[in-house]
This record gives sequence, C-alpha cells and structure tokens, in this order.
Amino acid sequence: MGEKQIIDLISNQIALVGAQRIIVDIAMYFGLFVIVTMALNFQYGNAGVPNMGCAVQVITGGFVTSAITTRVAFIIAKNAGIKILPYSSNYDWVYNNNMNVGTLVNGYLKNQPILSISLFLFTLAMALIFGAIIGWIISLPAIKLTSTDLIIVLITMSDISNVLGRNIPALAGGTLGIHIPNVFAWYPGDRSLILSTITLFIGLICFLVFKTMLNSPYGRLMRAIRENALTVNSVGKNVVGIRRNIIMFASGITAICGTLLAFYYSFVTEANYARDFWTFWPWLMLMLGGPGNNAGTFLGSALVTSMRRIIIVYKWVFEKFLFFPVAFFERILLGLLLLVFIIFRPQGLIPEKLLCTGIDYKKLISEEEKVDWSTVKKTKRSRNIRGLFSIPFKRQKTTKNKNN
Amino acid sequence: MVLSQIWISTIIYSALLSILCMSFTLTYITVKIPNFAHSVYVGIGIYVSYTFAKIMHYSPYLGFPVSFLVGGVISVIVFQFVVQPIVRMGGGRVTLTVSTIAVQIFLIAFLDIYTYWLRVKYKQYTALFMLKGEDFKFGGYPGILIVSFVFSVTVIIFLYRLLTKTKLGIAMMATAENKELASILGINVNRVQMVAWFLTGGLACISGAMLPFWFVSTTGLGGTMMTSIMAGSLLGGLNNVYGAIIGGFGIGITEIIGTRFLQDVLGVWVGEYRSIIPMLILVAILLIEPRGLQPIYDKIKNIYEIWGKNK
Amino acid sequence: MSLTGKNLTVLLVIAGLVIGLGVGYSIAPTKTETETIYETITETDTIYETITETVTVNVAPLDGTTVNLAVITGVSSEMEILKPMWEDIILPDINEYADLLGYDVKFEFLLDDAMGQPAVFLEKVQAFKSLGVNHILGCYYSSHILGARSYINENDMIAISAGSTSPLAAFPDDNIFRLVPTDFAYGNIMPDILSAYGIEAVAVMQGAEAFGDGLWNVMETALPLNNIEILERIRFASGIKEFSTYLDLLNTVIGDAIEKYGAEHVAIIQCCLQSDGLVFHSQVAGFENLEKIIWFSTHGGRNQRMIDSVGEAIVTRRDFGMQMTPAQTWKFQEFEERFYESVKLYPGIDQTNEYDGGILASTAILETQSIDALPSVRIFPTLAANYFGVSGWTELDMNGDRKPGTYTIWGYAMIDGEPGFTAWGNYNAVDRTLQWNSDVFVEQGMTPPG
Repeated sequence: MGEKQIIDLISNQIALVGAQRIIVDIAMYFGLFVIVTMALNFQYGNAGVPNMGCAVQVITGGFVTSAITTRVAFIIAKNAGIKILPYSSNYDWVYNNNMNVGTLVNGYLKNQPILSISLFLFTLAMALIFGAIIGWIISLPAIKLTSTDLIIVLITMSDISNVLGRNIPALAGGTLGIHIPNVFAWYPGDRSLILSTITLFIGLICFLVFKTMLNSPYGRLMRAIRENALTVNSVGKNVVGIRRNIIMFASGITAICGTLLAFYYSFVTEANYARDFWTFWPWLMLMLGGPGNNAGTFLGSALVTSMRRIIIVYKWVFEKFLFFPVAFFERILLGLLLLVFIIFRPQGLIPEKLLCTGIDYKKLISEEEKVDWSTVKKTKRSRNIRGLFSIPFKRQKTTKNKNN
Repeated sequence: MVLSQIWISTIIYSALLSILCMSFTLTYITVKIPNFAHSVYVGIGIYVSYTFAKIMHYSPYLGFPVSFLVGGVISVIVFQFVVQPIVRMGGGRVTLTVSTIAVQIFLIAFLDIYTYWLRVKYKQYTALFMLKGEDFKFGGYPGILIVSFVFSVTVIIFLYRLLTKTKLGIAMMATAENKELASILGINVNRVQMVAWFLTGGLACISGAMLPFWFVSTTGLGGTMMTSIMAGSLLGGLNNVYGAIIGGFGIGITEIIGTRFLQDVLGVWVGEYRSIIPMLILVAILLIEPRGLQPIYDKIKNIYEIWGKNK
Repeated sequence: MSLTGKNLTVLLVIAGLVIGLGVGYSIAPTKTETETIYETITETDTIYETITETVTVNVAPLDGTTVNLAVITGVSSEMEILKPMWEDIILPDINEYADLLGYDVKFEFLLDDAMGQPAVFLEKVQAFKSLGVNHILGCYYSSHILGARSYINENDMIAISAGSTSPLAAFPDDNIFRLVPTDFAYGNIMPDILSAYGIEAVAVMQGAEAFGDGLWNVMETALPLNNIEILERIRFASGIKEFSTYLDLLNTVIGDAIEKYGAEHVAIIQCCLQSDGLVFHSQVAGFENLEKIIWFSTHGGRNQRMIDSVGEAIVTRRDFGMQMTPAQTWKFQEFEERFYESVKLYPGIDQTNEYDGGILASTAILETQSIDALPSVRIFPTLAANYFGVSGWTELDMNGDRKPGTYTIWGYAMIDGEPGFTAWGNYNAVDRTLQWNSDVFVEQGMTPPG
C-alpha cells in the first residue's frame, strides 16, 4: 500500500473495499470482544468468579447510551436553540426519535467536534458508573452461590435484562429501539475506521489498567482469594468486599463495550445484545486463549473473531458441493474448529504461567479443590518467565526468616 | 370436564419440563456441569417423531423407543468424544460448560441439515409443524396429557429404583460422590458415566418426541425452553434427581397459573414478564437458601427416618 | 521462542496499529477534495487513452460475468422456503430476462442466515461487502435493518427489505428500500375493516416484538376513532411457545364482552409474527368463548400449516388476514401455482415481496450495468414506481417505503368439505374503499356485512 493510498484510506477518499474492509470490520469486532473478554478474565481468571452474565453488563452500556446520552444530547441541542420535537412520553420518545436524532441532533453535532467528543467521553464515564452498579447487583448472588448454580443464575439474569429492555420503552425504545446521536459526525472519513481505532485504543488502556491492578498488592490479594479464600479471610481481609469490588470494576469496563457497540450501530435495541452472542462468544474466546493471562485473552479474541469472519466470508467455496444452505455448513465448521481447539488445548492456547512449581493452578481455577499449602515446595522463580504479561510475585521475606 | 383447559396445558407443559429437568440434573450429577447441548436432544426427539408421523406414516408414539435410542447414542458420543477427552486433558468445569455450547452449535446444524434433506427428498415443510392430529383422545382429554404425566411419574420411580436398589445405580451415585474413590472400589467409572449419559440423552429425546403433540415445533424449540429447564433443575436441587419433578412442576405452574393469578391481582401487564417470573422467584429462593429445595427434602427425610424408627 | 516474545509481538502489533492510524490521521490533509478529484481525473484520462485504441464502445460492461445477489433470512427456519423459492422461481425468471435482453450475464444468489440476531446480521452484511456483493435482499426484521443501517449507508450498499415495517427505519435519502408499508398503513386499515364488518369491541393480542408494538401504537388511537371499544390489550412475552396464560385471560375478557355486545360484534385482533399466530391458534381448542367469535390477524387467512395443525376448528374462527397482494391478477395466480409446486406451501406477503424485490434488484443491475449499489439506489424509486409485481404496484414513498395499495382479505372456509381458504373481500388503500365478496359469505352460510 503506497503512502497516497494510506492517506486516502484514512480520509476516506476511496471507499474501503476487499481486504481493507475485512481488516477494519474484524478490528472493530475484535476490539469489542477483547474488552469483554479481558474483563471476564479479570473476574474468572484472577478472582475465580465464573461470570456467565456478562451480557447484562454489556447491555447496561447500551442502555446508558440510549437512555442518558440521547436525552443529554437533546437538552444540549435544545439549549442551543434547535427545535427538538417533544420526547417525554413513550410514544413521542420512540416516534419522534427519527427526526430528533436523525436530522436535528446529528446535524447540530456535525459542526461541534469538541462537544461530540465530550459527549462520547461522558457516555463512557456513565457506562463505567452504571456498569459498576449492575456489578454490585450481580455480586449479590456471586458471593453466595457455588459455581454451577451461579452460572445458571447469571444466565437467567441476562435473560431478565433483555426482557426489561423489551418492556420499558424509556430505556431503549422497547422493542422498536432508539437511534442514538452520531458523535463522530464531524469526522470527514469512514466512521467505522475511527470507531475501531478508538475501540482498540480503549482495549489497550483496559489492558494496561488490568495489568497494573494485577501487579499491585491488591492484585496479589485477588489471586490469593482465588487460591484459598478461607485463608485470606482468616488473616483479616474482607474477602466478600474484595470480590464485590472486582466484579464491580470489571462490570464497568464491560459496559464500555456496550456503549461502543451502540455507537457502532448508531442504534440501540435490546435485540442487539442477545444473550447467546454476548455471553457465549466471549467465554469461548477466554477458554480458547487460556484464562489467567491477558496474552491468552488477546490471542483467543483475535483467533475466534477472525476465524468466525473468515468462515463466514469464505464458506461460499463449498456452496457448489452442498444440497443444503451453506449457512448450516458454516455452523458445522465453526463448531468443529472450536471443539478441536477445546479438546486438544483444554487449558487454553496460552496456559497461565506458574510461578511456584507444585501448585496445580489449572485445577485451582476449575474446581473447588483445596490446596494444602504446607506441602507446597518453594522454589526459586526462574528468570525467563518474567515477561510483559506475567505477574511478578515477590518472594516473601518471612520464608527467609523462617529458614534462618 | 374436571380439568379446565389451562390446567390441561399446565400439566402437559410441566410434565415435559420435568422430564427434561430430570435428565438435565442427571448430567449434572455425573460431570457437574450444565449441559447446553441438552436443547439439541430435544430437537432430535422432535424430528424422530416427525419422521415417524409424516414420512413413514406410523403413529409417533411408536417412535419413542427409537427416540430413546437415538438420543442416548448421540449423548454417549458427545460424552466419549468431547467430554471425556477434555476431562482427560485436564479441562475444568467451565471449559466443559463452554464446550457443550460448541457441541450445541455443531449438532443443531446437523439437525437442520437433516430436516432440509427431508424437505428436498419428500417435498414437504419440516419447520413449524404439529402432530395434534396424530394423537388419541382418552375420556375427552388429549392422549398426550395422560402419556406425559404417567411417563414423568414412571421415570421418577424408575430412577429411584435404579439409583437406590440396583448395583449399577449405587455405582452411579458413588461415582457422582467421589470418582477416585469409586474407581478404587472397582467400579468402572467410565462405563457408569456412559450409562448415565445414555439415560440423559434418551430421556431428553423422548420428552422432545412428545413436544410436537402439543407445541408447534422447530429445531430450535429446545433452545427456547432451556432457561426454564435450568430454572426447574435448580429449584429442585441440582444434586437431586427426584427433586427435578418438583422443580419442573414448580416452574411450569408458576409460569402459567402463577402469571395468570398475578394478572388478576396486579394487572394484565404482568403477562409481558411471564418468562422471567419463575426466574425471579428462583433467584429469590437461591439468595435466601442457596441449595434450592434440598434442605426441605433433608427435613422430610429426617422426619421419615424418625418415624420409621419409632415404628 | 519463549512466551514473552509472543506476548510482546501481539502487543506491538496492536500498539503499532493504533499509533499508525493516529499518525496517519494527523498527517492526512484535512480538506483536499479538489486535489484528489483532480488526480482521479488524470488517471481515468490515461486509461481512456489506452482503451480507445483497442475497444471502441463498451455497452455492456457486465457481459460474461456472474452477478451475486445476497439474501439474508431472519431466522433459520425460513431457509426451507427461501432456498427453493430462489432456486426454482426467482433466479430462472431473472436469468431468462437477462437472456432476452441479450446480455451474457448470469445471476446467482447467496443465501445466508442471521439466526435471529442483529449482531449476526451485521456480520453477514459486512461479509458480503468484503465479497463485493452490494445488493442485500431478504432483511425481514426491522431490528436487523436498523442495526446495519449506518453500515449499509456508509459503505454504499443497498438493502431491499421484504418484511420490515418499523417507522424508525423510515428515512429519506438513504439506501434502504422496503417493499412493505410501515405500521401506520396497516394500523389504520385494520380498524377500517373491523368497523365495516360490524365489530364493536375487540381484544388486541400482540407479541412483545417490534411488529406487534408498532401496530398497537397506531391502533391504540385508530380503533376508538372507528367507534370500536378496546376490551383489553394483551402483550404476550416473546420467545415463549405456550400461551394458555393469555388464552385463559382472553377467554374471560371475551366471555364478558359477548354478553354485552353479542358474539357477532366481538372480535380478536392478533398482531404477531406468522409463527406465533400458528402457535396461538393451535392452543385455542378448549377455551369455549374464543371459538365463538371471529378472529382477525395480520398474517392470517392463508396458511397451509394452520390448516394442518388446527384442522377444521380454524374455519369457524376464520382468522381474517389482510395481505397486500391483489389476488385477482394472472401474475399472482401463476406465482401461487409455481410457489406451491416448489415449496408445498402458499405464498404469504413476505414471499410475494421477496419475489418483487429480487426482480427489481436484478433489473436495476441490468439497466445500470453495474454491480455497485449507488446507481441502483438512484434509479430504484423510479423503477419500482413503474413495476407491477406479484404484490401489485410497488410504488415507494419519499422514505423509500411501499405505498399501501390493494389488500385482499383472506380467511379460512370450508371448500368442498375440506378446510381451506378463500378471498373474502378487497380493500383499496388509495381511496379507502372496501368490497366484500357476498357470494363467499352466502356460500359459507353467513350474512354479508353492511
């Protein structure tokens, strides 16, 4: 690709086609999924909470965008002297939305880049806050129930969130949905390009934040809880509180993904946040990549997203040989590939790095196995595992003292 | 008629649901995971019935043994080629759960291909069909009412006998309690688990085979019932196969009769929330008592034992 | 290679991507349209020069190519109708027309499945874009269309929907055309017909999905305007397959109304998808009051599945349904025959619109001689206005949605001792006139209304 083409691509003088289009589209979906998957990893890989209700957290982001950002944009535009049609009743809220958002607000935001950006940032912040509130609600069962019960209750919760969205028009227009303001109307080029760049950028920030958190004393505490909650509790730490904080924080991050998705579609309805889609795919990515480390999360998300897309695009090669719709074949290929990966690498493509030999972390994550810490052999940490993604554990001084 | 129409529907729905809950719980007992591929067994049962009624023109009731076999065999295949290897490779509980989702995507596509093949071969529609016309009437009631209810009660009695009175059943329970210990005692753990999975698939498939008598059926019908199935199993207690019948009927009755009652009390709008009413009740129960109805069974068992001793 | 290296590479790739794009954007000239346009012109100039030596005029640039049309279904179970319909009916018709015009163009269709999820629908649309397929047909669900709307508009694609009715997708100057009128049309026509039939009170059953809600929002005001009392609005939860809760409630409501108004002046309106209506009727047996009255429904009146599942009982309920297809045309009659031959079902409104959509899209491609969407978008409204399809005149309004035309009122009836269906009347939405087929009423032992 020459220099001119790159410039053209970015300022959208030429329409994106073929391979470039695939890359931008995959990058967007990858960015969205990697945020959710990282947050899942934070909850499951590091805190041991199998959150199968991440669809609730994603949908929260969507509802924040539709219910709050849209109203705020209306108020701002109204103050700027634009005649916004009434939107207080459910009927007006939905049926005047075409005109209000599609023409009036978007037309206004087109010349207001600073305002648009601050509206976008405001939405992200609101998503964080409301996501955290939803996280608090999720944590109620999460600290009480054991794994399988919890999985079922959380799946149930995501169904509940969809039903609420469907029946309360004030949230996201009920079943009909709501158009949301285009905060990138000022950008001359391809909107999905800038949005995918921003999404990837937010993914990167999330990664750094998670990494910093895991490397802090708090992160070590989290891992300790995952390994043996009872011991941590007995030394006077508030296990329930820490677990709740973890879920709330991760929930806020996940809600950001919902917001980005809403801006990507420029439209919010509960159907966009189907439970199947936003629970099962992130979980597949997490399990495929390997829980407990962010490298695995990245690899899993990239692999599943691109695998899905490549199968969707290139499945037509097989069309000539099949008597049935090739869409069914797509699912067979996808299911088969996923199964092969899971069967041959059940601990993920990049398993979590073990810091002390003798502890089976894998087992620790998966089962409620108790570990007899007194029998764990303490060895020197080998040097080559101190990587970008690994979590440096400091050898405790107490061990030395004991030896002395 | 003694039973009003709404109760007839409720009993059929709850009976079918409770069979599904039983088999769902049976899977849980053996490998401790919620099996999402369960909804596919339902779909397989539906299309075994379809094949019998619409292609071969026999009574779909004759297809039940075939459903049982087909469902059982597919379930065993899933166990042998997916669940076992993952367990052997060291995959944990969540890995297994996620793998059943992949199995579901995979199997439902095969079912769709089979139905499409039927469409091409026999030139008739396969989706959104119903077999009400093939059913018999018994004293003014639809045959499926009696069949489904009797079948669910029979299955529970059969499972009770199997799990407490036979060697195989006791081995099954022992394996569920502690796999390592059971294998030390000389139990062939793999074979015992295979039998459990065979029963799981077979029962779910028979329940699926009964669905077209009362419901308009597609390959995805099982998927829409999945949350109800999970709720029923959880209500009955995931470690208790017999509790599943209480769970199934509990969920079925709350969903239909309970919503109807709430519509009279609170207003018609409650109907919009019908699918989540049992879930809300379930979540409430679990927050108060995380083990579902298990403590109640324990109490009943205690009273029964004390009463037995006194006698 | 140690894992560290891998990790580092992954991170660097992502970071590089982000930074690269940022840098690229910052060095990009902000507004250099004139410059670039100038450059493009010079390029074409050179191409033109080289071509003139070999080829004089290229009248049919598509000659010798295969043109793909994308069809995306809403749910998987629609596949078994759409695939044979496209294979046996639409595609042969399109290719025959291209042959007659003398073009060496072969049309193919690519049928994909959105699995009921807008997110998957968008993925499929994106996949078609990367394959260079710009004409998207099918698109039955409003939520799917709306989720992909901005993508379709920004990437110069065209979507021709055969089933989306939500007023929220009604925008002027966009690339989405819908061969169905919005909810406002149907929501006003239904009360018209009910009042002409002599109905004084109705219970409205609607699904908790976009179609049901959209119609209810219109009918809530339109029904009282036609002096029809709304007894109850029952909004049933979507995704459930067991309806006895609602039927029991409906039974009570209708029982009271029959005492007040008499059975012939009470009706039920069903606003839901065809599959839900089927489920509903299959479970009505045993609720006595519901069997005494006439039902109206949005997709009712002509469904082989309904006859198979419910049997004779459906005939007493009639299940009148208005479909925007003028049944008394040779075109429709022939289409119906071919459709039944191929699919073994009777075509509904979705299928007739799908046929017209396919013909219009291919005609647009042939006339513009381009597989790009923008030329098609430009001529589509004119093309549609001049086309009389299986579903009648396909003229579109300013938003690119169908203008309501002639509706046929279908309903079940006993025909030669067997349950079947027939046309009971016609409604013309242009001058809002209604004509009942009195003969049919007399034949079925009823008195014609009015």
